[in-house]
Amino acid sequence: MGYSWAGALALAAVLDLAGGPVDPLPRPGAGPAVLVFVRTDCPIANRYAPELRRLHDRYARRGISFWLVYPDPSETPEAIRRHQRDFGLGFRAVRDPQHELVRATLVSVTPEAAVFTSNGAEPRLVYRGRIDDRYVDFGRARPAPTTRDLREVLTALAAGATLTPRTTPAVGCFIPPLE
Amino acid sequence: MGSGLLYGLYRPHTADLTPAIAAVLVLAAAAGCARARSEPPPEVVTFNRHVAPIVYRNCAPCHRPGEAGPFSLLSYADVRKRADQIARVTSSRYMPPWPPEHGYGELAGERRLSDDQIALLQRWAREGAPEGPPAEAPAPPRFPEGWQLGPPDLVVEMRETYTVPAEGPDVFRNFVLPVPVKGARYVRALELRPGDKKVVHHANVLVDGTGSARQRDTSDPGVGFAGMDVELESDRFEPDSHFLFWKPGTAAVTEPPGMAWSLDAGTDLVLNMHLQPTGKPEPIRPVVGLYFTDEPPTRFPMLLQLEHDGAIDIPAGEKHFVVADHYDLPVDVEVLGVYPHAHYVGRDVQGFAALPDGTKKWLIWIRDWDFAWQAVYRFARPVFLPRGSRVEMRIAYDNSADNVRNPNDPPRRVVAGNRSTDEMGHLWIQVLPRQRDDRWVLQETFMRRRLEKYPGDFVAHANLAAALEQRGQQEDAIVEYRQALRARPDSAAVLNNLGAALQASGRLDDAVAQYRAALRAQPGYLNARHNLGGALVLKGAFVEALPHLLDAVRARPDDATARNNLGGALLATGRVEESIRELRRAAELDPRSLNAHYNLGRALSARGRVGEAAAAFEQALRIAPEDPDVLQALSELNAGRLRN
Repeated sequence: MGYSWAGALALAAVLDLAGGPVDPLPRPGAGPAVLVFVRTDCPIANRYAPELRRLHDRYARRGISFWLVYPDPSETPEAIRRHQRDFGLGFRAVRDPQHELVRATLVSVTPEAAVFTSNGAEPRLVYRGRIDDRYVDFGRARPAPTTRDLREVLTALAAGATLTPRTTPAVGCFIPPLE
Repeated sequence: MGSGLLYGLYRPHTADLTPAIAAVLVLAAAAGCARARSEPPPEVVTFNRHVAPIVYRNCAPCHRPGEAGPFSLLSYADVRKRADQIARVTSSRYMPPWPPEHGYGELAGERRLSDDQIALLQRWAREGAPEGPPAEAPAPPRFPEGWQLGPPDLVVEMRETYTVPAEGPDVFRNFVLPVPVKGARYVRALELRPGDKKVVHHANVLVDGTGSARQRDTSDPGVGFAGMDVELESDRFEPDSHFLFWKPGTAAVTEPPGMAWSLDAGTDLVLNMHLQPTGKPEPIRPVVGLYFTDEPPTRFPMLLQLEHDGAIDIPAGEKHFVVADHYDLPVDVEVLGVYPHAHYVGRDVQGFAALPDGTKKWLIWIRDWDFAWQAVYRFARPVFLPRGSRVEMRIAYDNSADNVRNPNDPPRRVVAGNRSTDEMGHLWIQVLPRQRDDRWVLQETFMRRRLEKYPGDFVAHANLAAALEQRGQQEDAIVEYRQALRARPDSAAVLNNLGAALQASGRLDDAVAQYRAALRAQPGYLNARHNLGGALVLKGAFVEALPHLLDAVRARPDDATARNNLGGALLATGRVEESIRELRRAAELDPRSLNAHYNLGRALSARGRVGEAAAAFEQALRIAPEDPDVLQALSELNAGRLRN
């Protein structure tokens, strides 16, 4: 059932906070990259900030690069910087105002994660979905997660495993379609 | 000389020892447009014509800057961006949050969408969320800024800031706010500004006149103290008859006419708060605004708590465990509101009444209980229940792994308690009896019912005693107080009340012993100190009484009764000038105090200040024209004048 994406992707409009083009997907031979889609005003995404920080602190030094992706074109670099500061999300952020990354990953909500590897020539999507299973639906959450999906994926990748692509359902704020 | 002096006791010494909750009315302003109207579906659904009126009325009160909603819904652009999500959360009825079933109790401020409205929102999202002709655009909603009822008469703030941690389970914290009022005030409205409304999920305001919450606060490290539910011991009855509840979307609402509640000097407000981590540390500092009135209350409601926590013992994995309770009303009442309460294992909450003619009248039904959205619900109109009606509560629990909110993974046996992993099952019912004194009949039968559930129970015996005392059954009350003390021998409030009951039945020495015991149990307990001082005066032990009376006045400098007692004792020990000062102050503080004017007359007359003394006695006679002590004193004074 895994969703797998492979193929050349021209990222023309993914921008860093200075407004320059940036490509967060791993280059051939580089380590895996995890993209976490968030927005500044999504309470579910915000509640995951401490967990994201922990994942970053643990796996960034084991060769996995971390990116925050803000898909709402109305969120300004200033608002994003403030959001990162408020929630202690001190890793690289990109804006995806034309939803190139949204389309490439098929994420639909925030927070949702997409994990790419690059063993061959092209980046390969090996995981898309929730961070963990704490949220079951809007307003229906477990007191603590029973499965930490993203953590499991990163642990396996850090150990050098090759993963079969898979997806999980994510619960969060819908990513609005572009105007 | 001392024999003719009159002293005041703190009476009535009623005990209301049930957990106190009390209340801001749930906002009824934005009454939901829940009536399902069958209109033919429009050809084109537009924001301006169809969607904006629904969203502005039902969503915008919380979805605007500074309120609890995470984003604003105040314009076409705001709403269009969220069209799919709005369609989704309204069709599942997650939003607007309104857990009660429609048609099972007619509740005020029903914030609930009709099926037609939900269908419109879904169609609009599906069809591309068109705006529609600008000419049809309704004006964006406007909301008052700042305090909803204007500047409060008194603003009470937390002394320190509490910081909600960035993550982890929800936080249940209680904060103690001393209220700097002088004398008693009547509160007609209370508004809580909880701090960041994205953090504060709900709050109960409790009124603590005994300092017991303050004591717990000092023994718990950090600001405030932990606990999902708070039980306060109280020796007063009045305030606990009101719901003081805040949830997002609630504004302050004035109590109904004639239903102000009284707030005494030395009272603390206790904020019992449910706080949700947001992902970053969140400092909060709640502020309470109080609105006073000079109109004393004329209508006296009462809170009845259906519960059977003692029966909560839910095996791990049990999907359907029911806890029930009932109470037979001994008098006619009107039901004004209900407050259901369970924790995370609770699933289905029902409250209803079986009338003497056999009909069933629903009060509330919540089929998908969610702790996070608990609230006080008021009825659109008071619900009349005749004497002989049985009010009932039924709460079903799901302690299986299928209940995602189950706090234990894997499920464990769950019993009653005030941690989030424990359970509770309560249905508070606010009733208004026809007469004020009917509350004592309610209280007596209610506590007798409680004793059926919990033989030997402290709370039941103590409250039963207070009810009996109020109804003039001193001897029965004394027996019940002693039963309560068997369960909790060092309850200062009950020891003090037992002392007062003994004193009222003429057993002064026994009373003194109980007051002393109350002070051993809780040395800072002022009512007991005041009463001990007063009782020692009555025994003629003026010198021994003085330090207690001085303490009482020092602690409550604006308390006329304490000043009067001190003044009387000073007079009796020959410290007449000091006595005059205290008694004048007592008469100023409470111009209607017979005792203060009479005692002041005695003191002035002892100093030979005949004219002033006569004026004081005459003032006393204006309050009580037939009082024999005053008449006697005045005639002695006049006789003395003639002789001189």
